[in-house]
Amino acid sequence: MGSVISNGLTNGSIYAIVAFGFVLIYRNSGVMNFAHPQIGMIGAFLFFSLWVEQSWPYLLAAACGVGLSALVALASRQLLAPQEGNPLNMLLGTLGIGGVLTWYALDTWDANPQFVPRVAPGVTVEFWDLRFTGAALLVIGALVVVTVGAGLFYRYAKTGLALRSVANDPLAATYMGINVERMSSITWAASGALAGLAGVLVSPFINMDPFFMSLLFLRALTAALLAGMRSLPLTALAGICIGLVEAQLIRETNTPGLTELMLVIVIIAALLLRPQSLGRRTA
Amino acid sequence: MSITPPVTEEVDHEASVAAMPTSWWRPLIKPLILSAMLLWWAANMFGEDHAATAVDAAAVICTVCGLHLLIQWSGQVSLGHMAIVGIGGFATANLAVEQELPLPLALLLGGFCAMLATVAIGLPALRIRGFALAITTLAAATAVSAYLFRQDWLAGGSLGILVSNSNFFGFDSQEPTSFVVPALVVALIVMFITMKIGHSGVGNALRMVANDDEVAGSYGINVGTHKLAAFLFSGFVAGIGGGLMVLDLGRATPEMFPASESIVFVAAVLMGGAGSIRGPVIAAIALVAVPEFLDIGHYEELVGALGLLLAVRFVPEGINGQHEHMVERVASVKAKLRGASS
Repeated sequence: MGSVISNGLTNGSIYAIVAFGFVLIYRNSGVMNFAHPQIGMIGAFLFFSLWVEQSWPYLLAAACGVGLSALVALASRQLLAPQEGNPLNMLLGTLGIGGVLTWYALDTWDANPQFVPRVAPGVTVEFWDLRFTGAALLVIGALVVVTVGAGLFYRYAKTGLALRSVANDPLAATYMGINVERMSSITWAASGALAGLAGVLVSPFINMDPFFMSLLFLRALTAALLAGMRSLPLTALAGICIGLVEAQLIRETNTPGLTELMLVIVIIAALLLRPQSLGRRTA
Repeated sequence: MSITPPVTEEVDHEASVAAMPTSWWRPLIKPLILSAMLLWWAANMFGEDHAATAVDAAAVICTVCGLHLLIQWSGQVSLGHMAIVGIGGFATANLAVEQELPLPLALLLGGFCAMLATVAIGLPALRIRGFALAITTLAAATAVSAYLFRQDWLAGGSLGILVSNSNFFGFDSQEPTSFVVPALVVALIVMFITMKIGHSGVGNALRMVANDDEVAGSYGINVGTHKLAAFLFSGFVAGIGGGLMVLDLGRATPEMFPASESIVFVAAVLMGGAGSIRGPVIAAIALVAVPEFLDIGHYEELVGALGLLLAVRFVPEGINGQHEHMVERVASVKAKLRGASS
């Protein structure tokens, strides 16, 4: 039972961080960024090259990876900007960008899985029945920091307030002197950085190949949809719930793909019961 | 005394032409002759490699025709068609191996199995629309390839299913130079049916539903039936496409139908643009043939994604739109020339 909870919490935190990226962009402009997992994957691979192959210090390599993801997200947004008013075209366009990024990763770091050593290998924390490794603690800590930090940022910082007003009513925000274009760029960069962060943090737990973030994609998407694509704390909660349920499912059965099946049923049920959570944003 | 000339009845030529019963076979002559020429050429001129490419193209054309009807005419976006192609492929392989059905029958019934599987996504699609439907189909496709294609009863375990029978109406289905003829015939039939649907009242009703389903409903069109029917048709032809792929290779494995490759079909439909199926068929042929003929090696996997991206970003009206522009431009140049000469 202890391992189910600790594994579930760790994986769930990753799902939540990936889901934040979806929610941020959707809240800002009603766009679903389907290149999100691939953007994170590119950053994680740069981190891998720098840390493992070039043996740079961990923090510097991680910062470079996160930075690359933010830049790629920004570039994607600039490329697709003329279509930003049309969510469906944006979705298809980002799908294309994701395909191009996957191809680039396959071309540069072939399809063989790479092994990433765990950060802080000696550290484990045990309390009650739970046992967390250093890498797992880093993931959970990152989720807490991001959730609280984003909450404070949106509540108190000037840019955060501007972002919220753009999300509420872009036209009114323009009249108040807010640069909507710039806010959109900031959102995309932040979302890309979160994808990169998730990629860097999850890399020790999995075999890194160009498709590893796509595995997180469905889980993160479900978490974001369950939270109604709005609230970050709710998204975090949904992500952790999915992580826990998945950990329990894996312990009970070994049927492959059962988690995906469950998630699709949850997505369809969520969209059928609450169709207003998507598509009717600007009512 | 003046003689008035007898009043001859004025014959309205246009009206009489319209009233004349049009023979049903007359519009078929040109396409039939073209098809026969194409098939003769395919049967005799294709080398081994190019025949294999043509069979691939036939399978993709089948899928893309159905997806074009679904996306451009009925307004429902499916991003997970590879899952349906896969279900059709596995069903065809199972029917051919387990039930020992003749291959053409297995192909047809495989299409029907794929059609039935489409109901699972077509029914929720009656309430989930647009953007949300795109997300749902993508998620469903991921689940199908992660769960369904790993089940032994459908996918036959880790090795997949081997189809040893290769007699397709006397053609050898595992020999591309021979199979290219029946494959192209199937693709031509699918294109013809799709075209006919597009020109029929059903096609008009579909486009009306896509435009505004409330207005369509108030005109007495059953919105739900039409939306579901569009899904069923696209599922059927996608299943046929998958069956062609399986028969061509002689085996069915999960790796043949990766969910991420659905992007190629969507790319073909978007590059084709709204309107007739001419655009998407050209785009489908281009997406399959260009990597083969140009021999661009590992850039091959890039073509679908890049095509989708460029189509969305730079040419939202697609090949059909470009064709219209061209026709307009030619007409205006002609008019100018006529004006200058007179």
